[in-house]
Amino acid sequence: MSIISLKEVSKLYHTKEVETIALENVNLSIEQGEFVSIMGPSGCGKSTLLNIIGLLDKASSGSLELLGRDMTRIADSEAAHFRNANLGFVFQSFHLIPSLNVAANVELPLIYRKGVSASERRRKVEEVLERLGMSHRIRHLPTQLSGGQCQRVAIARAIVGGPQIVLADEPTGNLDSKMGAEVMALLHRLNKEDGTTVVMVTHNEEQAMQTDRIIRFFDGHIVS
Amino acid sequence: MIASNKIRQIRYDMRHQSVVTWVTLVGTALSVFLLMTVISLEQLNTMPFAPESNRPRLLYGQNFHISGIGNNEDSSAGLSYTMAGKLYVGLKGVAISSRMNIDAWNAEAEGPTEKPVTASTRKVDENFWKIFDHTLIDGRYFDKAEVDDNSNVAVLSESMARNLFGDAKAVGSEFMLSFKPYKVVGLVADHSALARQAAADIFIPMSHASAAWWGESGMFGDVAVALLLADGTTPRALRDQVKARYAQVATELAPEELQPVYHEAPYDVATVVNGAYGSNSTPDTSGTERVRLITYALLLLLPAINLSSMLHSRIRRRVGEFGIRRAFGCTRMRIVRDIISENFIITLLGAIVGWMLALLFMSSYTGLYSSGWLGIVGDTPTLGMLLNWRMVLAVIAVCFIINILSASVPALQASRLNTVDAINGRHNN
Repeated sequence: MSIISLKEVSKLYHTKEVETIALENVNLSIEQGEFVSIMGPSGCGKSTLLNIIGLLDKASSGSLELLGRDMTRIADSEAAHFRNANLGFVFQSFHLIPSLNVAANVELPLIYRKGVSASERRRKVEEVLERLGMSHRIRHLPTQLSGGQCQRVAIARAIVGGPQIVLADEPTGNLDSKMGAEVMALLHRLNKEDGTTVVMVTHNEEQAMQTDRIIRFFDGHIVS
Repeated sequence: MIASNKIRQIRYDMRHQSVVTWVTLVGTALSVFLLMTVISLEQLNTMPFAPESNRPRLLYGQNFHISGIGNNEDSSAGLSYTMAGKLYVGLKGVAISSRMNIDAWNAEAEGPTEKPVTASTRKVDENFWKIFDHTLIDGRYFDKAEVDDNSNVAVLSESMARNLFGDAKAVGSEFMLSFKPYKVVGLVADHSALARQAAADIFIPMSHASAAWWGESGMFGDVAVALLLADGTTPRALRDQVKARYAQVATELAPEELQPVYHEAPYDVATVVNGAYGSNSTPDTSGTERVRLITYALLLLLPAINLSSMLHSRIRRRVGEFGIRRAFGCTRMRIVRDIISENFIITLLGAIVGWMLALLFMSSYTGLYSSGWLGIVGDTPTLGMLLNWRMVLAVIAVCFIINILSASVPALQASRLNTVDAINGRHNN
């Protein structure tokens, strides 16, 4: 069953002088439980595609379906609720909130979810941090963690709400190879153990080869 | 945990955006200090305290205005003793009325000590002492017989007694006031300099004979009437009676081709203190109120604009965070709410500090008048009078307004950021 489906999706950026085509008539279907990597040179539209799938940005034309639901004209607040319930994000630069400790960072998606009590939030945070081997750092601030640890926390934040889809934008881009391998192992575990669909943008051919499918992008088009 | 996250954010800002955050905090504290001080000072004008404990129940009739019928005559001034009686004495619903000077005047007083002194002097009748609760420390007040006889008796403040006689054992002694001999019959404790209508160094009888008067028909003079309302009487009811008396006076004056002009007298303490009156005009309390509201609005708006730009600066550094929050399901509305509530905590902290400063200032201010500075001691409004639920509500209201004024625009701007741009730390406002 297709969990992500894009039909004829295009994205144009307008400035006063120029119009830039980031995506042009992209058709893509990703099955539930797939681990897909998206590769391509910088500026080819990989991140734009990920942002559109993640409802962080809107396509200029075409249609998007997530979990069988048409997202083309979804309202802003509805998109926020959908993201909260079904999507998890992992970014290259971790994007942890510097003022919050590890627990509070991981807790973030649960705060925006209705009906989750404080004790349940605490339990889930502790569970996911335990699972990712970060429970000993629960009260640490992001500045007190290594890059690899930050990305573990970011993954914990992405999965604490039990999303069906995790979107990872170059999750190992800021890590050394050892740390990168650890993060990749975590994503694979997530994919295998929980059946979470993972869509990952990467420049790393070796890591891409470990995934179920590689989608190659060039100049706003899928080339293979 | 959610609230503690806000506290964490504030503590983080204090460490990492220390200048902006501290300026915000101090700016709020100073603006609340300023506003609370202004409000407190205004409260002192109408707040009841000895010897003016009856301020809330007091009204004053103090002016008279006539205009010619068919001619250009127009005169106004204080009341003569007789006119004060016609218009204000014997009204229903008045517990006690007292003829007195509305303003004390400076007179030269000379006792056994070598140099004459300038003394704040007030003529009052025997009822004055029942309306204004001075503390009698020696002797007695002058009585009705002495007032009616226009006796040369006086009640002195303790410090004036010391000035004139060298000590406070002045009862029975004589002194000169404006070159006339007076006998001291009583001494009262010094009052706060914040007292107004009850304040003076020397009190002498206000009688028909002693009251000043002028004008062809003896309508004008230096007399005012203090009216202490009986329980259950409204100022409106009293004004209606006074208006009816004006109609009676109009009948009396008609043969002289004159008519009295009624100006909604008698006036409450706030109207008298704010000076929102003239002897020939109706008090414009709404105008005074307008000026006060504009002052408050400026006192709120100016710091709010400053705080708004501070908050804007703090938010610019957190653009990425807002993008991340949006990615994980935070709605735009929630962003606005979070920023405003976070700002409210800072504003509240600042307000508490500002309020404390205001209390400290007021404490030293009222203390100024009770510490013997300028030789004035005695009863004074206490700090406790300023610590009431109204002030607490006022502080919270001020916080709330400053917060809404300062945080709304930056919060809305933050909520409208493009999520992808925000995550990448790009902002266009």
